[in-house]
Amino acid sequence: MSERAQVTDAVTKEWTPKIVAFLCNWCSYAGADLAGTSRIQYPPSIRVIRVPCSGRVNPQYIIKALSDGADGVMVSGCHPGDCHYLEGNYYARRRFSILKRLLSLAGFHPDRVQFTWVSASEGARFAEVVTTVTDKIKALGPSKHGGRDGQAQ
Amino acid sequence: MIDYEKQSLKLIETAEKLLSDNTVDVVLGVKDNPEVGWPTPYFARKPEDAKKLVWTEDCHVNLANYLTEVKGKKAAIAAKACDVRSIINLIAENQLSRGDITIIGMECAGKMQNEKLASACDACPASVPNLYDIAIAADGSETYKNLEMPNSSENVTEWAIHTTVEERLDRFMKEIDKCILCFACRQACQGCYCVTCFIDRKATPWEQVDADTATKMAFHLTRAMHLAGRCTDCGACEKVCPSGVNLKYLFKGLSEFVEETYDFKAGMDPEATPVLDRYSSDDKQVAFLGGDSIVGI
Repeated sequence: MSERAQVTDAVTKEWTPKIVAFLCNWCSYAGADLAGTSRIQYPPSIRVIRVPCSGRVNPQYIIKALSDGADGVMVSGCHPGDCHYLEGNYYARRRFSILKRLLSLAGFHPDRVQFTWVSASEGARFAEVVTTVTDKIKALGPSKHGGRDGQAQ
Repeated sequence: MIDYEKQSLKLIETAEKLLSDNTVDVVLGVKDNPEVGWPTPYFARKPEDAKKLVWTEDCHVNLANYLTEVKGKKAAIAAKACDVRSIINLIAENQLSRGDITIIGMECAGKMQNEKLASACDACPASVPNLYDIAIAADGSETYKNLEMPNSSENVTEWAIHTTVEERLDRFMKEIDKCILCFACRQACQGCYCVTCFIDRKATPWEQVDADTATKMAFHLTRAMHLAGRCTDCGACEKVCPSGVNLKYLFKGLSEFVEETYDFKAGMDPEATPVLDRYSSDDKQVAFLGGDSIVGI
């Protein structure tokens, strides 16, 4: 694990977590966009993967990210009832609840995986969510799980 | 407690009858296999084949999986309580049609493996299947005896509440360290009927060439996720594992969670929609940032 290159903040030289963020195209991605165009500051810890819907996020993607050594995973979609595809996020909600219980049973700290709803108009909320998630994962330190054996990541 | 000789005789008699009057095309059961050491699956297709069928204390194989291989044919199956839950699960998921299957419900008080009670059998709640067409009771008769069962399964939710994240990770890592990625658990599982498993898909490299920890972790966690609310507690995965990987507690923990949160138990009702195939607009916000917290964990 020590071989793994760790991301450090350019200014503070502090360790910042690597967080994989799955954002739905219609709400959260637009929310992130709004946060950007409104020049709202949030920690540069997320790596955004844009998906059509939070229901598109296969739990396997989250497991894959974690077992390959990501420090955290964040999934964000439209608020319940506001899904562009009407019900995608309802299916996703059940799936994520179960996945989080599974990860928790297998010894992943529940804070490493975060699910949330952010709408397209909530740029400020998006920044707030990323800050909260980053702080929580920062408190846990680098991921102890996964990573390819004997390989520097 | 169980008269296996009488159960065998009754099973042969039933199978002969079903095959000779063409009620079914095939009877799924087990036959003696001295090379392996315990009875292995057997498909009786002619009335005279039926004589080979046996029912012993070590026929722990879950035959539900083989029903998907004779899909479209009329089939009878000798099934224990756990196998029947698996069959119900397959019917609920549209893998089988109830009309094609004749369930011969075998009363069971737990099966033996390597001279001790097979894994998962100590946690079994019922000696009698919850759905059957023909009953074969403990003494070979047609009325079930409803035997007392040990039902001593671990409550995984309780365990999780009283352990730390590190302890849970230790248990998980200790188990997957033993894994050699032979995929026997997947082959034996009633829920793993995908034609191509995600781990076999070479187009997306979920699996790397070497059996490293990340691959094992990805395989076992994904399999557990795929079986959430679908595991029927038959223990086939543990029974077939050559290196003794015991991950059934993950499936059990998820079953407990699904039952508590969504009021659903796999393998109970053939008409039920599987838990991840539906939703309710007022599902709890379990696991969401600022939502309801996960009980205890």
